[in-house]
Amino acid sequence: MGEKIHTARCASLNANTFDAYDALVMALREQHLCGKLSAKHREALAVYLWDHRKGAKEQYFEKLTVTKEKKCPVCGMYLYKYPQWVSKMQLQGKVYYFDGIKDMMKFYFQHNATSNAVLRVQEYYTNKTIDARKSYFVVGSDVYGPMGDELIAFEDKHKAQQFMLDHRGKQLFDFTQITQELVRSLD
Amino acid sequence: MQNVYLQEVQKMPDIVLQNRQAGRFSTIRDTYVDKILEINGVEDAFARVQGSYTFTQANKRFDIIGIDPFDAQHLAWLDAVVQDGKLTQGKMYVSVQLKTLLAHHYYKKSFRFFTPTLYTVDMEIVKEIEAPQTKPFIAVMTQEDAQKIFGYRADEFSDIALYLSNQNELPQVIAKLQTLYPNAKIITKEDMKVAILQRFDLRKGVFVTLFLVSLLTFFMIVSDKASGLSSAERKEIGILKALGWRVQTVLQARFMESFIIITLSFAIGVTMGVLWIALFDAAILQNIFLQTYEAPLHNLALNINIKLLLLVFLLSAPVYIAATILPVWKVAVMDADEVLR
Repeated sequence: MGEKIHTARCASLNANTFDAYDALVMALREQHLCGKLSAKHREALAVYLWDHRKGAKEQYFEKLTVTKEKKCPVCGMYLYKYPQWVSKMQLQGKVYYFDGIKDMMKFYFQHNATSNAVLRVQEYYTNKTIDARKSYFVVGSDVYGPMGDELIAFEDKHKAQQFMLDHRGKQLFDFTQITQELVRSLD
Repeated sequence: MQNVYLQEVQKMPDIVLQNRQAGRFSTIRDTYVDKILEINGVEDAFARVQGSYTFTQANKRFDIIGIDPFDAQHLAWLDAVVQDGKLTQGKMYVSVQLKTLLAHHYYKKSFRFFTPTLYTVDMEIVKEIEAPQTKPFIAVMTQEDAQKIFGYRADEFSDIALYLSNQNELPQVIAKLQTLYPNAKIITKEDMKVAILQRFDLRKGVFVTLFLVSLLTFFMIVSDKASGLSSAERKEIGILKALGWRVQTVLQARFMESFIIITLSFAIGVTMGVLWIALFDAAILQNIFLQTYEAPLHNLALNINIKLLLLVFLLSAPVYIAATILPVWKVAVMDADEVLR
Protein backbone atom coordinates (compact mmCIF):
# COMPACT_ATOMS: atom_id res chain seq x y z
CA MET A 1 0.00 0.00 0.00
CA GLY A 2 2.77 2.46 0.93
CA GLU A 3 4.46 1.95 -2.40
CA LYS A 4 1.23 2.65 -4.28
CA ILE A 5 0.63 5.88 -2.37
CA HIS A 6 4.25 6.95 -2.88
CA THR A 7 4.07 6.33 -6.62
CA ALA A 8 0.68 7.99 -7.00
CA ARG A 9 1.05 11.01 -4.75
CA CYS A 10 4.67 11.95 -4.04
CA ALA A 11 7.18 9.97 -6.03
CA SER A 12 9.81 12.68 -5.54
CA LEU A 13 9.71 12.61 -1.72
CA ASN A 14 13.04 11.50 -0.23
CA ALA A 15 12.96 9.97 3.25
CA ASN A 16 16.74 10.39 3.65
CA THR A 17 16.20 14.05 4.57
CA PHE A 18 14.61 12.94 7.86
CA ASP A 19 16.68 11.90 10.85
CA ALA A 20 14.03 9.84 12.57
CA TYR A 21 10.86 7.94 11.69
CA ASP A 22 8.75 10.17 13.96
CA ALA A 23 9.96 13.29 12.15
CA LEU A 24 8.86 11.76 8.85
CA VAL A 25 5.41 10.88 10.21
CA MET A 26 4.97 14.41 11.64
CA ALA A 27 5.99 15.99 8.35
CA LEU A 28 3.51 13.85 6.44
CA ARG A 29 0.77 14.75 8.91
CA GLU A 30 1.39 18.46 9.33
CA GLN A 31 2.96 19.56 6.10
CA HIS A 32 0.76 17.30 3.88
CA LEU A 33 3.81 16.37 1.81
CA CYS A 34 1.75 13.81 -0.08
CA GLY A 35 -1.58 15.54 0.09
CA LYS A 36 -4.29 14.79 2.62
CA LEU A 37 -4.08 11.17 3.75
CA SER A 38 -6.02 9.15 6.27
CA ALA A 39 -4.11 7.88 9.30
CA LYS A 40 -3.93 4.37 7.84
CA HIS A 41 -2.51 5.57 4.51
CA ARG A 42 -0.09 7.95 6.23
CA GLU A 43 1.33 5.18 8.38
CA ALA A 44 1.66 2.78 5.43
CA LEU A 45 3.48 5.45 3.43
CA ALA A 46 5.79 6.34 6.32
CA VAL A 47 6.72 2.69 6.89
CA TYR A 48 7.39 2.20 3.19
CA LEU A 49 9.54 5.33 2.88
CA TRP A 50 11.49 4.52 6.04
CA ASP A 51 12.20 0.94 4.95
CA HIS A 52 13.32 2.02 1.50
CA ARG A 53 15.56 4.94 2.34
CA LYS A 54 19.16 4.66 1.15
CA GLY A 55 21.30 2.49 3.41
CA ALA A 56 18.42 0.49 4.82
CA LYS A 57 19.01 -2.86 3.20
CA GLU A 58 16.95 -5.96 3.56
CA GLN A 59 18.30 -9.04 1.93
CA TYR A 60 15.94 -10.82 -0.40
CA PHE A 61 16.63 -14.31 -1.63
CA GLU A 62 14.67 -15.99 -4.37
CA LYS A 63 11.84 -18.31 -3.39
CA LEU A 64 12.83 -21.95 -3.10
CA THR A 65 10.94 -23.88 -5.76
CA VAL A 66 11.47 -27.42 -6.95
CA THR A 67 10.35 -29.43 -9.95
CA LYS A 68 8.42 -32.70 -9.61
CA GLU A 69 11.54 -34.82 -10.19
CA LYS A 70 13.66 -33.33 -7.39
CA LYS A 71 14.40 -35.68 -4.51
CA CYS A 72 16.13 -35.19 -1.19
CA PRO A 73 19.67 -36.68 -1.46
CA VAL A 74 19.48 -37.90 2.17
CA CYS A 75 16.11 -39.67 2.37
CA GLY A 76 15.03 -39.83 -1.30
CA MET A 77 11.66 -38.13 -0.68
CA TYR A 78 10.04 -36.16 -3.51
CA LEU A 79 10.19 -32.51 -2.60
CA TYR A 80 7.29 -31.07 -4.61
CA LYS A 81 4.81 -32.53 -2.09
CA TYR A 82 6.17 -30.38 0.76
CA PRO A 83 7.02 -26.97 -0.75
CA GLN A 84 7.00 -25.11 2.58
CA TRP A 85 9.75 -27.39 3.99
CA VAL A 86 12.21 -27.19 1.10
CA SER A 87 15.73 -26.05 1.97
CA LYS A 88 18.76 -25.57 -0.27
CA MET A 89 22.51 -25.98 -0.12
CA GLN A 90 25.11 -24.85 -2.63
CA LEU A 91 28.34 -26.76 -2.16
CA GLN A 92 31.35 -26.89 -4.48
CA GLY A 93 29.36 -25.66 -7.45
CA LYS A 94 26.46 -28.09 -6.97
CA VAL A 95 22.99 -27.30 -5.71
CA TYR A 96 21.12 -29.69 -3.43
CA TYR A 97 17.52 -29.47 -2.22
CA PHE A 98 16.24 -31.11 0.96
CA ASP A 99 12.85 -31.86 2.50
CA GLY A 100 13.73 -30.10 5.74
CA ILE A 101 16.54 -28.45 7.66
CA LYS A 102 17.30 -31.67 9.56
CA ASP A 103 18.26 -33.51 6.35
CA MET A 104 20.16 -30.49 5.08
CA MET A 105 22.23 -30.44 8.29
CA LYS A 106 22.84 -34.20 8.09
CA PHE A 107 24.24 -33.67 4.60
CA TYR A 108 26.21 -30.65 5.86
CA PHE A 109 27.95 -32.72 8.56
CA GLN A 110 28.39 -35.80 6.36
CA HIS A 111 30.27 -33.79 3.72
CA ASN A 112 32.19 -31.68 6.25
CA ALA A 113 30.80 -28.59 4.56
CA THR A 114 32.61 -25.42 5.49
CA SER A 115 31.65 -21.79 5.60
CA ASN A 116 31.79 -21.82 1.78
CA ALA A 117 28.52 -23.71 1.63
CA VAL A 118 25.53 -21.47 0.94
CA LEU A 119 22.54 -22.52 3.04
CA ARG A 120 19.02 -21.28 2.42
CA VAL A 121 15.96 -22.22 4.43
CA GLN A 122 12.35 -21.05 4.67
CA GLU A 123 11.15 -18.99 7.58
CA TYR A 124 8.30 -20.84 9.29
CA TYR A 125 5.75 -18.03 9.56
CA THR A 126 6.24 -16.27 6.24
CA ASN A 127 7.85 -19.01 4.05
CA LYS A 128 10.39 -16.36 3.08
CA THR A 129 13.83 -17.62 2.02
CA ILE A 130 16.45 -16.72 4.62
CA ASP A 131 20.12 -17.38 5.21
CA ALA A 132 20.40 -20.34 7.59
CA ARG A 133 23.62 -19.00 9.11
CA LYS A 134 21.83 -15.88 10.32
CA SER A 135 18.70 -17.68 11.51
CA TYR A 136 17.40 -19.12 14.76
CA PHE A 137 16.08 -22.64 15.16
CA VAL A 138 13.58 -24.23 17.53
CA VAL A 139 13.48 -27.96 18.29
CA GLY A 140 11.08 -30.13 20.24
CA SER A 141 7.90 -28.36 19.16
CA ASP A 142 4.56 -29.87 18.13
CA VAL A 143 5.16 -28.89 14.52
CA TYR A 144 6.46 -31.82 12.51
CA GLY A 145 8.07 -31.76 9.10
CA PRO A 146 7.94 -34.51 6.44
CA MET A 147 10.66 -36.41 8.36
CA GLY A 148 9.14 -35.96 11.82
CA ASP A 149 10.89 -33.78 14.41
CA GLU A 150 12.46 -30.82 12.71
CA LEU A 151 14.56 -27.73 13.15
CA ILE A 152 12.13 -24.86 12.60
CA ALA A 153 13.78 -21.70 11.23
CA PHE A 154 13.09 -18.07 12.11
CA GLU A 155 14.53 -14.81 10.93
CA ASP A 156 14.63 -13.19 14.35
CA LYS A 157 14.87 -14.41 17.91
CA HIS A 158 11.62 -12.76 19.01
CA LYS A 159 9.59 -14.76 16.48
CA ALA A 160 11.41 -17.92 17.52
CA GLN A 161 10.57 -17.28 21.18
CA GLN A 162 6.93 -16.58 20.28
CA PHE A 163 6.85 -19.88 18.37
CA MET A 164 8.26 -21.72 21.38
CA LEU A 165 5.41 -20.40 23.51
CA ASP A 166 2.72 -21.23 20.93
CA HIS A 167 4.01 -24.68 20.00
CA ARG A 168 5.70 -25.94 23.19
CA GLY A 169 9.20 -25.73 21.71
CA LYS A 170 11.94 -27.15 23.96
CA GLN A 171 15.13 -25.44 22.82
CA LEU A 172 16.27 -22.44 20.77
CA PHE A 173 19.58 -22.39 18.87
CA ASP A 174 21.40 -20.22 16.47
CA PHE A 175 23.25 -21.82 13.54
CA THR A 176 26.60 -22.10 15.31
CA GLN A 177 25.05 -24.15 18.12
CA ILE A 178 23.69 -26.90 15.84
CA THR A 179 25.76 -30.07 16.26
CA GLN A 180 25.69 -33.46 14.61
CA GLU A 181 24.48 -35.02 17.89
CA LEU A 182 21.57 -32.61 18.04
CA VAL A 183 20.55 -33.47 14.47
CA ARG A 184 20.84 -37.22 15.21
CA SER A 185 18.72 -36.84 18.33
CA LEU A 186 15.82 -35.58 16.22
CA ASP A 187 15.48 -38.96 14.45
CA MET B 1 -22.66 -25.42 -9.92
CA GLN B 2 -21.10 -26.76 -6.74
CA ASN B 3 -17.68 -26.55 -8.39
CA VAL B 4 -18.24 -22.91 -9.37
CA TYR B 5 -19.05 -21.99 -5.77
CA LEU B 6 -16.17 -24.05 -4.38
CA GLN B 7 -13.74 -22.41 -6.78
CA GLU B 8 -14.93 -18.98 -5.62
CA VAL B 9 -14.37 -20.02 -1.99
CA GLN B 10 -10.77 -20.96 -2.82
CA LYS B 11 -10.09 -17.32 -3.65
CA MET B 12 -11.65 -16.02 -0.46
CA PRO B 13 -9.73 -14.97 2.67
CA ASP B 14 -8.46 -17.70 4.99
CA ILE B 15 -10.34 -16.18 7.93
CA VAL B 16 -13.23 -13.73 8.08
CA LEU B 17 -14.01 -12.02 11.36
CA GLN B 18 -17.61 -10.88 11.87
CA ASN B 19 -18.92 -9.07 14.89
CA ARG B 20 -21.99 -10.24 16.76
CA GLN B 21 -24.27 -8.04 18.83
CA ALA B 22 -27.29 -9.46 20.63
CA GLY B 23 -26.76 -12.65 18.65
CA ARG B 24 -26.99 -10.86 15.32
CA PHE B 25 -24.47 -9.79 12.73
CA SER B 26 -23.12 -6.30 13.45
CA THR B 27 -20.43 -3.97 12.15
CA ILE B 28 -16.85 -4.33 13.35
CA ARG B 29 -14.25 -1.64 14.12
CA ASP B 30 -10.82 -1.74 12.58
CA THR B 31 -9.17 -0.77 15.89
CA TYR B 32 -7.25 -3.99 16.21
CA VAL B 33 -6.24 -4.59 12.60
CA ASP B 34 -2.69 -3.47 13.41
CA LYS B 35 -2.58 -5.94 16.31
CA ILE B 36 -3.89 -8.67 14.00
CA LEU B 37 -1.09 -7.92 11.53
CA GLU B 38 1.42 -8.49 14.31
CA ILE B 39 0.19 -12.06 14.82
CA ASN B 40 2.77 -14.45 13.42
CA GLY B 41 1.49 -16.28 10.39
CA VAL B 42 -0.81 -13.48 9.22
CA GLU B 43 0.25 -12.22 5.81
CA ASP B 44 -2.45 -9.59 5.37
CA ALA B 45 -5.46 -8.30 7.29
CA PHE B 46 -7.85 -5.55 6.30
CA ALA B 47 -11.31 -4.35 7.14
CA ARG B 48 -13.91 -4.76 4.39
CA VAL B 49 -17.10 -2.98 3.52
CA GLN B 50 -19.49 -5.14 1.56
CA GLY B 51 -23.10 -6.08 1.56
CA SER B 52 -26.23 -6.03 -0.54
CA TYR B 53 -28.56 -3.23 -1.58
CA THR B 54 -32.24 -3.70 -2.38
CA PHE B 55 -33.20 -2.11 -5.65
CA THR B 56 -36.91 -1.74 -4.89
CA GLN B 57 -38.03 -0.70 -8.36
CA ALA B 58 -36.64 -3.88 -9.92
CA ASN B 59 -37.41 -6.02 -6.86
CA LYS B 60 -33.82 -7.23 -6.92
CA ARG B 61 -30.83 -7.19 -4.63
CA PHE B 62 -27.33 -6.52 -5.83
CA ASP B 63 -23.98 -6.72 -4.07
CA ILE B 64 -21.83 -3.74 -3.21
CA ILE B 65 -18.12 -4.02 -2.49
CA GLY B 66 -16.17 -1.04 -1.17
CA ILE B 67 -12.41 -1.17 -1.75
CA ASP B 68 -9.44 0.96 -0.84
CA PRO B 69 -7.58 1.72 -4.10
CA PHE B 70 -4.27 1.76 -2.20
CA ASP B 71 -4.81 -1.67 -0.65
CA ALA B 72 -3.36 -4.79 -2.27
CA GLN B 73 -6.28 -6.67 -3.82
CA HIS B 74 -6.28 -10.44 -3.56
CA LEU B 75 -8.94 -11.01 -6.21
CA ALA B 76 -7.87 -10.56 -9.82
CA TRP B 77 -11.08 -8.89 -10.93
CA LEU B 78 -10.89 -6.32 -8.10
CA ASP B 79 -7.24 -5.70 -8.89
CA ALA B 80 -8.28 -4.95 -12.48
CA VAL B 81 -10.64 -2.25 -11.16
CA VAL B 82 -7.85 -0.66 -9.10
CA GLN B 83 -5.37 -0.84 -11.99
CA ASP B 84 -7.87 0.99 -14.20
CA GLY B 85 -7.19 4.03 -12.02
CA LYS B 86 -10.63 5.67 -12.27
CA LEU B 87 -12.06 4.57 -8.93
CA THR B 88 -12.59 7.69 -6.85
CA GLN B 89 -15.33 8.92 -4.57
CA GLY B 90 -18.67 9.32 -6.31
CA LYS B 91 -17.83 6.75 -8.98
CA MET B 92 -18.57 3.06 -9.28
CA TYR B 93 -17.88 0.09 -11.53
CA VAL B 94 -20.80 -2.23 -12.24
CA SER B 95 -21.11 -5.72 -13.68
CA VAL B 96 -22.56 -6.19 -17.14
CA GLN B 97 -25.82 -7.62 -15.86
CA LEU B 98 -26.25 -4.88 -13.29
CA LYS B 99 -25.62 -2.22 -15.92
CA THR B 100 -28.34 -3.75 -18.09
CA LEU B 101 -30.72 -3.88 -15.15
CA LEU B 102 -30.08 -0.24 -14.21
CA ALA B 103 -30.36 0.92 -17.82
CA HIS B 104 -33.69 -0.90 -18.07
CA HIS B 105 -34.89 1.33 -15.24
CA TYR B 106 -33.47 4.47 -16.89
CA TYR B 107 -30.33 4.66 -14.75
CA LYS B 108 -27.89 4.85 -17.65
CA LYS B 109 -25.09 7.09 -16.38
CA SER B 110 -25.63 7.23 -12.64
CA PHE B 111 -27.64 5.67 -9.85
CA ARG B 112 -29.18 7.18 -6.73
CA PHE B 113 -28.75 5.14 -3.56
CA PHE B 114 -30.86 5.67 -0.45
CA THR B 115 -29.09 5.33 2.88
CA PRO B 116 -30.85 3.79 5.91
CA THR B 117 -31.49 7.33 7.18
CA LEU B 118 -33.05 8.25 3.79
CA TYR B 119 -30.24 10.49 2.62
CA THR B 120 -29.29 10.01 -1.02
CA VAL B 121 -25.91 9.13 -2.48
CA ASP B 122 -25.50 9.67 -6.22
CA MET B 123 -22.93 7.42 -7.86
CA GLU B 124 -21.67 7.81 -11.42
CA ILE B 125 -21.34 4.57 -13.42
CA VAL B 126 -17.80 4.59 -14.78
CA LYS B 127 -17.35 1.25 -16.48
CA GLU B 128 -18.53 -2.32 -16.83
CA ILE B 129 -16.48 -5.09 -15.26
CA GLU B 130 -16.21 -8.85 -15.52
CA ALA B 131 -17.77 -10.00 -12.28
CA PRO B 132 -17.42 -13.53 -10.86
CA GLN B 133 -20.09 -16.03 -11.90
CA THR B 134 -21.55 -16.26 -8.41
CA LYS B 135 -22.11 -12.49 -8.19
CA PRO B 136 -23.59 -11.40 -11.50
CA PHE B 137 -25.14 -8.23 -10.03
CA ILE B 138 -22.37 -6.31 -8.32
CA ALA B 139 -21.12 -2.73 -7.91
CA VAL B 140 -17.59 -1.79 -6.84
CA MET B 141 -16.87 1.60 -5.27
CA THR B 142 -14.59 3.22 -2.70
CA GLN B 143 -14.92 2.18 0.92
CA GLU B 144 -16.05 5.66 1.95
CA ASP B 145 -18.95 5.58 -0.54
CA ALA B 146 -19.98 2.09 0.52
CA GLN B 147 -19.90 3.18 4.17
CA LYS B 148 -22.18 6.13 3.36
CA ILE B 149 -24.66 3.89 1.50
CA PHE B 150 -24.81 1.32 4.30
CA GLY B 151 -24.99 4.02 6.98
CA TYR B 152 -21.69 3.01 8.57
CA ARG B 153 -19.44 5.43 10.43
CA ALA B 154 -15.89 5.96 9.17
CA ASP B 155 -14.49 3.38 11.61
CA GLU B 156 -17.20 0.76 11.00
CA PHE B 157 -16.76 -2.13 8.60
CA SER B 158 -18.67 -5.26 7.57
CA ASP B 159 -15.92 -7.66 8.57
CA ILE B 160 -12.16 -8.14 8.75
CA ALA B 161 -10.50 -10.44 6.23
CA LEU B 162 -7.24 -12.27 6.98
CA TYR B 163 -4.85 -14.06 4.66
CA LEU B 164 -2.33 -16.42 6.23
CA SER B 165 1.20 -17.01 5.00
CA ASN B 166 1.35 -20.36 6.80
CA GLN B 167 -1.86 -22.42 6.92
CA ASN B 168 -0.42 -24.53 9.78
CA GLU B 169 -0.83 -21.52 12.02
CA LEU B 170 -4.61 -21.40 11.59
CA PRO B 171 -5.49 -22.75 15.08
CA GLN B 172 -3.01 -20.38 16.78
CA VAL B 173 -4.24 -17.36 14.81
CA ILE B 174 -7.86 -18.21 15.67
CA ALA B 175 -6.97 -18.49 19.37
CA LYS B 176 -5.30 -15.07 19.30
CA LEU B 177 -8.21 -13.51 17.40
CA GLN B 178 -10.59 -14.79 20.05
CA THR B 179 -8.71 -12.83 22.71
CA LEU B 180 -8.73 -9.65 20.59
CA TYR B 181 -12.39 -9.94 19.53
CA PRO B 182 -14.17 -12.15 22.07
CA ASN B 183 -17.63 -11.42 20.62
CA ALA B 184 -16.69 -12.01 17.02
CA LYS B 185 -17.61 -14.98 14.88
CA ILE B 186 -14.60 -16.51 13.15
CA ILE B 187 -15.33 -18.06 9.78
CA THR B 188 -12.59 -20.05 8.08
CA LYS B 189 -12.38 -21.08 4.45
CA GLU B 190 -13.19 -24.62 5.55
CA ASP B 191 -16.42 -23.40 7.17
CA MET B 192 -17.41 -21.69 3.93
CA LYS B 193 -16.71 -24.88 1.95
CA VAL B 194 -18.75 -26.97 4.38
CA ALA B 195 -21.68 -24.52 4.14
CA ILE B 196 -21.69 -24.85 0.35
CA LEU B 197 -21.40 -28.64 0.44
CA GLN B 198 -24.26 -28.86 2.95
CA ARG B 199 -26.45 -26.65 0.82
CA PHE B 200 -25.86 -28.78 -2.26
CA ASP B 201 -26.02 -32.10 -0.44
CA LEU B 202 -29.41 -31.20 0.96
CA ARG B 203 -30.85 -30.28 -2.40
CA LYS B 204 -29.19 -33.13 -4.26
CA GLY B 205 -31.86 -35.26 -2.57
CA VAL B 206 -34.20 -34.34 -5.43
CA PHE B 207 -31.86 -36.01 -7.87
CA VAL B 208 -31.38 -39.03 -5.63
CA THR B 209 -35.15 -39.48 -5.65
CA LEU B 210 -35.26 -39.18 -9.45
CA PHE B 211 -32.42 -41.66 -9.70
CA LEU B 212 -34.25 -44.17 -7.50
CA VAL B 213 -37.35 -43.85 -9.67
CA SER B 214 -35.26 -44.44 -12.80
CA LEU B 215 -33.60 -47.43 -11.15
CA LEU B 216 -36.97 -48.94 -10.28
CA THR B 217 -38.16 -48.46 -13.86
CA PHE B 218 -34.98 -50.07 -15.16
CA PHE B 219 -35.43 -53.14 -12.97
CA MET B 220 -39.08 -53.42 -14.02
CA ILE B 221 -37.94 -53.54 -17.66
CA VAL B 222 -35.25 -56.07 -16.79
CA SER B 223 -37.61 -58.34 -14.91
CA ASP B 224 -40.08 -58.14 -17.80
CA LYS B 225 -37.34 -59.19 -20.21
CA ALA B 226 -36.11 -61.96 -17.95
CA SER B 227 -39.56 -63.43 -17.39
CA GLY B 228 -39.61 -64.88 -20.87
CA LEU B 229 -39.88 -64.20 -24.57
CA SER B 230 -43.03 -63.29 -26.43
CA SER B 231 -44.46 -65.81 -28.94
CA ALA B 232 -43.17 -63.69 -31.85
CA GLU B 233 -39.65 -63.74 -30.46
CA ARG B 234 -39.85 -67.52 -29.89
CA LYS B 235 -40.97 -68.05 -33.50
CA GLU B 236 -38.14 -65.83 -34.71
CA ILE B 237 -35.58 -67.99 -32.93
CA GLY B 238 -37.30 -71.16 -34.16
CA ILE B 239 -37.10 -69.96 -37.80
CA LEU B 240 -33.43 -69.05 -37.40
CA LYS B 241 -32.71 -72.49 -36.00
CA ALA B 242 -34.67 -74.13 -38.82
CA LEU B 243 -32.55 -72.18 -41.30
CA GLY B 244 -29.45 -73.73 -39.77
CA TRP B 245 -28.33 -71.14 -37.23
CA ARG B 246 -26.46 -72.63 -34.35
CA VAL B 247 -27.24 -71.76 -30.73
CA GLN B 248 -23.99 -69.80 -30.48
CA THR B 249 -24.83 -67.67 -33.50
CA VAL B 250 -28.32 -66.87 -32.19
CA LEU B 251 -26.89 -65.83 -28.84
CA GLN B 252 -24.22 -63.68 -30.51
CA ALA B 253 -26.80 -61.89 -32.60
CA ARG B 254 -29.04 -61.18 -29.61
CA PHE B 255 -26.02 -60.11 -27.54
CA MET B 256 -24.97 -57.57 -30.17
CA GLU B 257 -28.54 -56.31 -30.46
CA SER B 258 -28.95 -55.73 -26.72
CA PHE B 259 -25.44 -54.30 -26.40
CA ILE B 260 -26.14 -51.75 -29.13
CA ILE B 261 -29.47 -50.81 -27.52
CA ILE B 262 -28.01 -50.31 -24.03
CA THR B 263 -24.90 -48.46 -25.24
CA LEU B 264 -26.82 -46.19 -27.58
CA SER B 265 -29.44 -45.30 -24.99
CA PHE B 266 -26.75 -44.61 -22.38
CA ALA B 267 -24.85 -42.39 -24.84
CA ILE B 268 -28.02 -40.50 -25.82
CA GLY B 269 -28.91 -39.93 -22.16
CA VAL B 270 -25.45 -38.61 -21.24
CA THR B 271 -25.30 -36.43 -24.37
CA MET B 272 -28.69 -34.90 -23.62
CA GLY B 273 -27.56 -34.13 -20.08
CA VAL B 274 -24.33 -32.52 -21.27
CA LEU B 275 -26.14 -30.48 -23.91
CA TRP B 276 -28.71 -29.33 -21.34
CA ILE B 277 -25.88 -27.88 -19.26
CA ALA B 278 -23.72 -26.60 -22.12
CA LEU B 279 -26.48 -25.02 -24.22
CA PHE B 280 -29.15 -24.14 -21.69
CA ASP B 281 -27.06 -23.63 -18.48
CA ALA B 282 -29.08 -26.37 -16.76
CA ALA B 283 -32.25 -24.25 -17.00
CA ILE B 284 -34.99 -25.14 -14.46
CA LEU B 285 -32.67 -27.62 -12.73
CA GLN B 286 -30.43 -24.77 -11.49
CA ASN B 287 -33.34 -23.30 -9.55
CA ILE B 288 -33.28 -26.29 -7.23
CA PHE B 289 -29.91 -25.12 -5.85
CA LEU B 290 -30.36 -21.35 -5.89
CA GLN B 291 -31.41 -19.28 -2.91
CA THR B 292 -34.43 -17.02 -3.46
CA TYR B 293 -32.30 -13.90 -3.91
CA GLU B 294 -29.67 -15.46 -6.17
CA ALA B 295 -29.58 -15.03 -9.92
CA PRO B 296 -28.94 -18.09 -12.12
CA LEU B 297 -25.35 -18.82 -13.14
CA HIS B 298 -24.31 -18.61 -16.77
CA ASN B 299 -21.60 -20.38 -18.79
CA LEU B 300 -21.39 -23.31 -16.40
CA ALA B 301 -18.19 -25.30 -16.85
CA LEU B 302 -18.76 -28.99 -17.49
CA ASN B 303 -17.58 -31.30 -14.74
CA ILE B 304 -17.97 -34.84 -16.13
CA ASN B 305 -17.11 -37.58 -13.69
CA ILE B 306 -16.01 -40.33 -16.10
CA LYS B 307 -15.53 -42.87 -13.31
CA LEU B 308 -19.10 -42.41 -12.09
CA LEU B 309 -20.53 -42.71 -15.61
CA LEU B 310 -18.50 -45.85 -16.20
CA LEU B 311 -19.71 -47.30 -12.92
CA VAL B 312 -23.37 -46.65 -13.79
CA PHE B 313 -22.86 -48.19 -17.25
CA LEU B 314 -21.12 -51.28 -15.86
CA LEU B 315 -23.83 -51.78 -13.26
CA SER B 316 -26.70 -51.50 -15.72
CA ALA B 317 -25.46 -52.90 -19.03
CA PRO B 318 -24.49 -56.42 -17.89
CA VAL B 319 -27.77 -56.74 -15.97
CA TYR B 320 -29.81 -55.77 -19.04
CA ILE B 321 -27.80 -57.97 -21.39
CA ALA B 322 -28.06 -60.94 -19.03
CA ALA B 323 -31.79 -60.43 -18.68
CA THR B 324 -32.09 -60.45 -22.49
CA ILE B 325 -29.74 -63.37 -23.21
CA LEU B 326 -31.00 -65.87 -20.63
CA PRO B 327 -34.53 -66.34 -22.01
CA VAL B 328 -33.09 -66.43 -25.56
CA TRP B 329 -30.72 -69.18 -24.52
CA LYS B 330 -33.54 -71.18 -22.93
CA VAL B 331 -35.43 -71.11 -26.22
CA ALA B 332 -32.37 -71.50 -28.46
CA VAL B 333 -31.35 -74.85 -26.92
CA MET B 334 -34.75 -76.37 -27.75
CA ASP B 335 -35.45 -78.12 -31.10
CA ALA B 336 -36.68 -75.87 -33.89
CA ASP B 337 -39.93 -77.78 -34.43
CA GLU B 338 -40.68 -77.74 -30.72
CA VAL B 339 -40.23 -73.95 -30.68
CA LEU B 340 -42.37 -73.40 -33.77
CA ARG B 341 -45.18 -75.60 -32.50
